[in-house]
Amino acid sequence: MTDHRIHDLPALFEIDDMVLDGLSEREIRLLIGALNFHAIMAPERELDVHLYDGDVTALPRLTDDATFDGGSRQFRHRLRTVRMRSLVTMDGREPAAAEEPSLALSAHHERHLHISSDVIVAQDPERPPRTDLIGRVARRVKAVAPLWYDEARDLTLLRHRRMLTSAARRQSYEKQFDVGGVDEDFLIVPAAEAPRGATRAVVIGMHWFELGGAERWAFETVRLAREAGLLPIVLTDRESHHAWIGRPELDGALLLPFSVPTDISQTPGVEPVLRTLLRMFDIRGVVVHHNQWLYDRLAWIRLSRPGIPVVDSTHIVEYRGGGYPRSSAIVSDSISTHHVISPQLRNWMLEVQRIPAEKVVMAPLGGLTIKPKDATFRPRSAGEPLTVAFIGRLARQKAPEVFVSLVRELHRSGEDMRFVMHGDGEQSGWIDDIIEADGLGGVIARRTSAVSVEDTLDEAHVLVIPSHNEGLTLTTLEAIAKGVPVVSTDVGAQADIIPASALVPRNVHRAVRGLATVLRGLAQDESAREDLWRRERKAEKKLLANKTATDWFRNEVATW
Amino acid sequence: MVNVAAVVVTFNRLEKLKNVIASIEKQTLPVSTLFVIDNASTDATGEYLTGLETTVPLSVVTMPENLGGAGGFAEGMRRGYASGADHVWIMDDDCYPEPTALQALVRGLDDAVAELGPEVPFSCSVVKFTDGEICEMNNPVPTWDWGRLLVRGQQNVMVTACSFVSVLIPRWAIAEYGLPYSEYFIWFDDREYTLRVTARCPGVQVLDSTVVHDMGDNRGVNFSMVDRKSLWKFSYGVRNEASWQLHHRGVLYFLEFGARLFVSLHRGRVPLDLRLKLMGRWLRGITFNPRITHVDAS
Repeated sequence: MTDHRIHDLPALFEIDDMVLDGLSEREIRLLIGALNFHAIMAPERELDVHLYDGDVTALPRLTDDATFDGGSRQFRHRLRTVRMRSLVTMDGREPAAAEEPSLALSAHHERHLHISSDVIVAQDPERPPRTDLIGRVARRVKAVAPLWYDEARDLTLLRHRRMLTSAARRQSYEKQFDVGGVDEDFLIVPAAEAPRGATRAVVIGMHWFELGGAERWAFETVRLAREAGLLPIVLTDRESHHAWIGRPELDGALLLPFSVPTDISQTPGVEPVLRTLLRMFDIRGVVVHHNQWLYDRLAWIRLSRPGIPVVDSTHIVEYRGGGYPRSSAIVSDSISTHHVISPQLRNWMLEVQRIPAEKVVMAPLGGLTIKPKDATFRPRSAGEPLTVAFIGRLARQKAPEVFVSLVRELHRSGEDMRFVMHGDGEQSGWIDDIIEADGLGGVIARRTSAVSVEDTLDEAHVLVIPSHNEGLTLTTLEAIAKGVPVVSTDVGAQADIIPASALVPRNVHRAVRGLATVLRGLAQDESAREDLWRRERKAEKKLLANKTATDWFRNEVATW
Repeated sequence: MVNVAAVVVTFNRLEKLKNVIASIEKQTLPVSTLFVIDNASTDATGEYLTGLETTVPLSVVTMPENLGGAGGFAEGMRRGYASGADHVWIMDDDCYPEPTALQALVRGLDDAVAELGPEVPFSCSVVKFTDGEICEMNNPVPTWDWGRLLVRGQQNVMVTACSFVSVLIPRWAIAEYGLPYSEYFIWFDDREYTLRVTARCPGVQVLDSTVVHDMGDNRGVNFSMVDRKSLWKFSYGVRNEASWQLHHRGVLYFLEFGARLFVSLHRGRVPLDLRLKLMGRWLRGITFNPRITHVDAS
């Protein structure tokens, strides 16, 4: 039953192969992932699956409750209808009364899916600015005073401060099902045993199949799990076009990319999808990478399979509510090992969240994209202006507006420097506005992510990380490996690499002043620039002397 | 292949309903599913539908209570949309489509889209009375340039409003504009809905798609015809139109509608107590303002 493959991927259903004709690798994998989910939810049944198109704003609809009953306005144009047959067997269990809404949903004979096409995904989605008066005023204010806008936002974040400095209350899963609990209408029904000889597998929860440092690491764990002889069952819970679902690390994996909500289909305490996976496969462990859906269900998995290892991996404490490290701490009783990527985060887990030290493993991600051993400092030619680079998504976290303000500060004071801004993202419109308002159009060289990071680092003399928040940035490690020193705001684990002399406060106004001062010094003193790089390289070597995340997880998964 | 769900809303008209179903079975373009919305009929409709076998896939939906034509059409369109149909074809339980009616509606819609663009929101049939004459109360409202498609060789007249007697609505229009106001219960639901969906582009009446409306008495309606027996229907009509005029067009239209109502009642010598009741329903339109329900409403 579990050996069936379509397009060389495990498939829990049968379908006419012609259905895949003309689809790209990404589209095929999304479709197979969605049909895997629906095969689980309709064991031994045949379903008519309607496939709809959508524009660039329409994210794939794969598994959410509307895919059962068609109740979504997104299903505007049907492209075609295909028939699938589930290869999943019934479990023969008498359903509980609380499962009725889920069963009613599953009883529909049709499913409704939207697999976004590559053509649509390639389009840059329009982000039209608000055109009403408030929108226009806000846009103008943000363009001429971006840092004051940041200050106002920081003020609003103060209310989350306590989340960052206090231990999270631990989840009491079983109490949720007691009278008065949030799940009082439901019952906990643990999964049945898997049959002898079932395929050994590991459940890996990812955020999404998109670009990012955390995702690179998550993909690496999928590869390592397969290398260890386990079938990776990879599920995601964040809606996305999943541009990276075609990556080779996912070859041979059972894919389950979720669209949400799944509240009705996934009855609390019963967990139809997870229970079927546990029934069909010999699940040897669970890995969570920034996947709240799976965090919420770890306790149920531990009740069903008390002995199996449950590992999670976190990177960054978010200022707004703590982010995934706090989610992790809440369900820490269901987690056997917390993997963190920086000493700073390890300290937070131990000291703030009071997680026992033996449960926390610090293993940096350094080995993924960089080889620091052979790095040499890249000197600047005589008379060459200092090239200052920003590399990163144009997103709030990366604070591109701080970089633009820094350029304005340095440009006004007549410094002989070049500025390169490398990246694109949802704030590109805002950044365009600021650059125009500051008259810096001819001063900053803009590059999209179509240009490789390496090319920009080959030109750069200093990399600036002005971020509002970070874990330990991969670009920092990559820059050092390319002989480029880094100056940064003092956020996340940057202090683990960057010496105090090149760290500036996170507050945006102080950051601009501090970064300008450091850069002026480096422009005038080449030996200081080299000295900074050497100290950073030393710190990087020290950090990477720790067992890398890859080595640690390879050993870990080998025992599963 | 195009995929059309037919929706028939019925209430206590079993013999006519049998004819409607038979007419749908005879379509040259078969429907993918026939949804019969039984508005809690109290005659033998329920028993008949329970054992019914048809040549097209049939889905009978028995409403817990009579929600009027408006509620029935809203439910049927929601079901048709959820079935994955490309178009939903709606009609009353006394509407007998000719065998090629649906095929012509689909072709007519496609033709209109080819000329006017993809936003043509419906195509509707020519509605005849049982004697072959035009049905007085089911005439669509043409646009000022209604003949534009005719001169290009199409069998389509451009219209802005029609009644729910054989109307083909593409699924995108339902996704975008939502469902008819079920709160209207009866009367003006079809007018409001078709005006709503023609906000950007007119619909079309397809001249070679014909249906017979077996409605008993072939008369148009106006407010001078109110009597005690028909008061209940007129009450809904007045309230619904007053609400629409005020909340979707403006206060002057609302006042103009009130004046028109007043004059019609006066000219028809409608008994004073009925006039008072209907003027009260006109005022009820001030506070009656339902919200659009969409297909994703839980």
